[in-house]
Amino acid sequence: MSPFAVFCRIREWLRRSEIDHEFEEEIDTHLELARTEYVRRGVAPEEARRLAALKFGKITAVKEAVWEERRLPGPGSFLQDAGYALRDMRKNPGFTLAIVLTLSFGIGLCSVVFSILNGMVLRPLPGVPDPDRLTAIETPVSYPQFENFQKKTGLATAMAAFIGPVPFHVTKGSAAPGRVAGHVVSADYFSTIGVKPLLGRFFEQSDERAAVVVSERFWRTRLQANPKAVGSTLSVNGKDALIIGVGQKEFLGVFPASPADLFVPVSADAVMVPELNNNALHRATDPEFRVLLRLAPRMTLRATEAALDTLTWQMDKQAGKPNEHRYRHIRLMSAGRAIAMPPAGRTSIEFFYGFWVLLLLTLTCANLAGLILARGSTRAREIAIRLSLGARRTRLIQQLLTESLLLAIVAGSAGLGGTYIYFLASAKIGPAKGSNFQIQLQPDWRVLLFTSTISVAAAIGFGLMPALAITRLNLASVLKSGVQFRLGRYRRFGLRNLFWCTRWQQLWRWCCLSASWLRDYKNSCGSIPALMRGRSICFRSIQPATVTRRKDRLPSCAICQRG
Amino acid sequence: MASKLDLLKGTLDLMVLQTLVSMGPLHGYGIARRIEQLSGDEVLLNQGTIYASLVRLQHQRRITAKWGTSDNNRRAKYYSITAAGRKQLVEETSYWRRLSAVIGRVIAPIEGNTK
Repeated sequence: MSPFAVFCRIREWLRRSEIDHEFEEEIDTHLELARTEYVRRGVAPEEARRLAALKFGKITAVKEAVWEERRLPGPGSFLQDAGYALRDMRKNPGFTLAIVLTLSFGIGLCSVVFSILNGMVLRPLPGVPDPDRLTAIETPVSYPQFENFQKKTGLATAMAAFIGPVPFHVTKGSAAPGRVAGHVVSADYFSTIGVKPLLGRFFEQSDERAAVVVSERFWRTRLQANPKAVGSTLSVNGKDALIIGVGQKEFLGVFPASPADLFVPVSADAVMVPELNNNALHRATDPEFRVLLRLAPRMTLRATEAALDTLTWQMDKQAGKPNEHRYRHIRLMSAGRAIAMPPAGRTSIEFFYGFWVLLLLTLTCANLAGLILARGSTRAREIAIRLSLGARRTRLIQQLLTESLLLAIVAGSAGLGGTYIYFLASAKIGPAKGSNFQIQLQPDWRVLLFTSTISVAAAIGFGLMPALAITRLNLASVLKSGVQFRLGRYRRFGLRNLFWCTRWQQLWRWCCLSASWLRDYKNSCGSIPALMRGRSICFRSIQPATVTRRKDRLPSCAICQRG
Repeated sequence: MASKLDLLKGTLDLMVLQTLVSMGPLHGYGIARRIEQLSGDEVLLNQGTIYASLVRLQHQRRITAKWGTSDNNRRAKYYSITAAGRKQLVEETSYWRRLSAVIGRVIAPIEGNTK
C-alpha cells in the first residue's frame, strides 16, 4: 500500500461518519438516476425502482466492499473488532469468565514451567559478559594440575580454580555469629567470570593471607550496606580477615544454585580455610578444585576438551604414570547459567520442558475450542445473518480471531501475574530447611516474551478452528429454523471429531505420564505421602540404609536427585 | 447467449479509466451505464461494484472526485482522470493488448480443430 493510500485511509477514517453519509447520498443519486432512466423508457415507476435496485446489487455488499477499500491498515480494523468483541464479552460475562479462567490457568502453568527452565538454563549469570564462553571442567582436579593447565598458552583466555561451597563461621564485631557458604578461589576467579567489584577491589596475584571479598547480599544483610565495611575486619573461622571488596549486585559465585557469600583466596591461612590444610596447593593426589575456563577465541568446547585431554595425558606421562587417566575424558560444562551442565544436557532439558509446555497448551486450547464451538450454536444465527447480508467470510474469521486474541491477552496477563505471585510466594517461603539450593526463578523479559508468544499461539489455537467451522454455515437452514446449527460439510467425520480424539488422547497421555512419575517417585523415595509432604523430598527421604537396601533401584534415585 | 463474462482482476479499474478518458468527468451511475453499454450487457457486473473500484483509484491518485449537480438536479459526485491515471491507462492497455494477443495465438489452433 502506498503512503498516499495510507494517508487517504487515515483521513477518511477520521471523517468516517461524514464519508458514510456522502456515500449514502451517492447511492441514492445513483438509484434515482437509474429509476428516472427506466421511467423515461416507459417502465412503470414501481417496476423502475425495483429494476434500478436489482441492477445496483446488494447495497450492504457494495458498502462492505467500499469499507474494505477504506479500512484502516492494520491496527484500525483491529480496534474496531476489539470494540465489538468487548461489547460481546460484556453481554456474556459467564462464558468470558470461564474461558479466561481456563486459559489463564493453562498459560500460567506454562509460564511457571518456562520460568523454571529460564532460571536454570536460559538466564545468564548476572553481570557476566559473554556467558556462552564461560565453561567449567565437570570433575574436580588437583591444584598442581590446574597450574599446569594454566601454564599452557592458547588453551583459554582466562582460567581459575576454586573449592566450593565451603561453610564458614563468620563474626562481625559484636553481632551474633553466623554461618555462610563461600568459595575458596584462585586470584583469577573474578576476572575469569568477568564481574566487577561494587566497592573496593578483588584479589590480586600476590594477595595477602588474610583478605576476603563479600557478596553484595552479605554486605547488604550482614554489614548493613555500610560503605565503610571495605577495609574493616571480619572474623572468619576465628581468624581476623580484611574485607577488601564487595561483589557485584546479585552475584553469588559461579554456581548460584548453591550461592556463595564469602570469597577467600587460596593463599589464605589454613587456619581460616581447613580445606587448604596439609599443603593442599601442592598435593597432586587430591582432586578437589573446580576449574573455570573462558574459551579462547575460535576454540570450541570440543576442541578445548581435546586439548585438556592431551595435556592431562602428557602430564601423567611426565609423572611416570602414562595410563593413570588414559581412558578418562575431560568434559566441559557451560558455566554461564545458573545450572552448569554439558550442552547435551541443556538440549535435553529444553526438549523436556518444551514438550510439557506444548502438551499443556494444546490441552488447554482443545478444551477452549470445544467450549467456543459449543457456544457457536447460539451464535450461528447472528453469523448467518451477517453472511447473508454480504459479510465476507475472511472478515468474519478475522473478527472472531480478534475476539480470541483479546481473551488470550487478558488470560495471558492473568497467567503472568499468577506466575509472578507464585514465585514471589515461594521465594518468601524460602528454600527447604537445611538446603542451600536456590535459583532465581522470578519472571524476567524472557518469560514475558514467552508468555506473549504462547498467548498469541493459544488465541490462534483455540480460535481458528471454531472460527472456520462456524462461518461455514448452511445459511438457509440456520435462518429458517432459527437456532439449529449445522456444521455444513463437517457432518460425518470432520474437525470436530478429530478434535475429540486429540483431547482424549492427550488426557490419556497426561494420565500415563503422571502415573509413571508417581511410580518412579514411589520406587526411589519410598512412599507417595512422603512426596506430598514437601520439597527436596528425594534428598532427605533417602536414608543411607535405604539406599543400600535398594541398590538395584539406584539409577532412578539418581534421576530424582538430578531433577 | 451463454452465461455472462466474469471480470478478470484489475479489468474493472481499466474500464473505469477508459470511460473517464473518452467521456470526461462523470458520476458513478454514468460510468456504470457507459461500461454496460460498451460491453453490450455481456459482462456480469452489478452497478454498485464500481464504487469500490472508484475508491481504490482515488487512493492510487489515478482519478479525483468533485461534487457537482446531475441532470435531474441532484447532488452527485463527478470523477475525472488525472495525469497519473492516463499514464496508467496507456500501460495497462498495452499490457492487455499483449496478453489478449498471446491468448489469441495460444487458442487459435484449438478453434481451427473444432471447426
